[in-house]
Amino acid sequence: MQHTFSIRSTGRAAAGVLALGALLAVSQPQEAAASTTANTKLLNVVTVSYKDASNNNTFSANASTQVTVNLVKAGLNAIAAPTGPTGPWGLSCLPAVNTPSGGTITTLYAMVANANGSDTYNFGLSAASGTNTNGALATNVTSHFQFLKYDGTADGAQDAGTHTFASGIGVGLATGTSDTLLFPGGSLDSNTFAPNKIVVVTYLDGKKQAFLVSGVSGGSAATITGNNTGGAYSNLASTAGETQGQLKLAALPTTAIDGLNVGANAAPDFDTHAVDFSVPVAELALVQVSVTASVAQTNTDATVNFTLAGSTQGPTPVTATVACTDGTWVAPQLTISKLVRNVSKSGSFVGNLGTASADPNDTLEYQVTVTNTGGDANKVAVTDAVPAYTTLVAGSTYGTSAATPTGSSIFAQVTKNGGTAINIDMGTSAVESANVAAGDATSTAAKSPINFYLGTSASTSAGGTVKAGETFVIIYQVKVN
Amino acid sequence: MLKQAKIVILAMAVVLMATAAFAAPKVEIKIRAEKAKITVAKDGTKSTKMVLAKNFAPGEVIHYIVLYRNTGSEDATNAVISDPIPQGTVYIPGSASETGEVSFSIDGGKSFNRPALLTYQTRGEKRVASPEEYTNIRWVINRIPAGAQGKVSFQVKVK
Repeated sequence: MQHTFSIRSTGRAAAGVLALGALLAVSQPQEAAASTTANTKLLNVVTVSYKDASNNNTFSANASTQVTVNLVKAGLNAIAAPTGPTGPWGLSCLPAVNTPSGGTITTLYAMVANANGSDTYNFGLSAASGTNTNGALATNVTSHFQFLKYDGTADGAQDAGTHTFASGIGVGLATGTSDTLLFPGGSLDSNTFAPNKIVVVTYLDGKKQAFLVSGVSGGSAATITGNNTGGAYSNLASTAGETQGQLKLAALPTTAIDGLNVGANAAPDFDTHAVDFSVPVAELALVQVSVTASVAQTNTDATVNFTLAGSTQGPTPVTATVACTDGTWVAPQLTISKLVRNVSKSGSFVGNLGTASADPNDTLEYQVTVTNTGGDANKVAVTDAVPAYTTLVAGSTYGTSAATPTGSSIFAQVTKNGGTAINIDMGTSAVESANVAAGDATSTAAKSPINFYLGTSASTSAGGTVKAGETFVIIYQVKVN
Repeated sequence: MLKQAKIVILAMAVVLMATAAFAAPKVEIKIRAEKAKITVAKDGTKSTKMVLAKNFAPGEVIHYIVLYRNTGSEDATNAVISDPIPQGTVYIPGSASETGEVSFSIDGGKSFNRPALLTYQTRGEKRVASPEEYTNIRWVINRIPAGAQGKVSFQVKVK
């Protein structure tokens, strides 16, 4: 608030201006934001000097009073983790991401203190399934939040119910330094402004930058002896000097936290980039929210909505929330196709609805393709059978020509994502490849069952996990009886 | 040696007593910080009462009241009550009591003037200082008669 006065040059105008100023002072709304840090001691020393009747001898007396500035609680400013070195950063949710059913989505937020002094806030996280257009719900929803240090390590316990944010309003730059801010003596809370905390400094040009606390000293307020009560007259109040608090800041090192960019490695240069001392130098706390959920229905995705709330303590809490949709849990969606060709006649593959002609003793090659176009699928098994009037060929040379049985027990090959073919043996086999497939065929006779267990951690009796986007191709050959 | 020292002390005591016997002014001051407290009576009527206060929130107004009295046996003349505006506060325009002659400083108390005459040069232009820029306040009271008392007051807002 800046009063601007025009002046008309006479003493009477001056009185008028003062009256106008008083009106302005009454009509303006009280500013919400505090510009003086909590626990500042406002010292007022008043002096009277006077002379005796002879006008020769001078005397003086003084008195003082000191009042303390209160903490004005203020809500946190919750922001998506900054991705650029300069603020202000706006409140926003992070882009929702997709994850397979059963997976965990983690999102990183930053919360910046706003009060004129350090204060403790209550924290809570709630998460519930969203409803998509098909009415599908996520199940097994669990959610946690964790405060992180600048290097990505945990700061306090998981789901900590409270967090104390450091905050204070500086009054100047320490002489001869470019990195040390001064605070009213005794006002700086040296416990909350602990080394390695991230704090945000606001410049006069409105930009914000994050730094790391490298040193702190609280200082001390002026001490007064003598008349400080406003009660009795006494002749002299003496004050001992104030020692201002000091907050030394350093560049925020390149952080190990993905997606966080708050001006890493920019050293403080407050002597050239002027700091705005009307707003708090405030802690920036990093909060990681992680939500795990599953999809109840196949082929139908589900979302989870969560709300992270940080509230001031006391009778009328001020709450800052981030309420976002934490991505989509994608349901597994497998497609399967079965093609056949007559390798004896060098025929090409035809699909389910096509036909391949064959004479007795011709060899047919079947190609079964399983593709996951959705989220991760578990326990993926393909059950097939040797076609009627045919005999399963063990020991084939797959893919190119008619079978020349080698007498080996290999009856099929499985490839994952076009990789190396894995041979599948006859019988109740062992796991051919823990990360690709197992399979068994108990007999080569027509209508005998053929089983394939696909995916990571496939066993001899159950399928493993076929991840999103993976494709498995199974090839086996039969001879027409 | 010891005997001589005693004599000197006695002599000094005599001198001090003699000084006290002369008529002299003795002005004492005290300062109070008060805030307006609104109380609501049972019948719903509100009344504002000034109370001594130790704690102020930013945005609140501190009423500083300086009380003075002359307990001496002679009038005090040219009494100057000067008070720096505390750091972290802003003077509220028009709040200074019109006792004696009120003037303000914008240079830390080196010079004082009426508000309209508080000017400074900026980019070659003469500007009148705004109340945010006041650093000190001063009252000049020509005479405080022996036995008299009075008060001056002003208000600041906590930034």
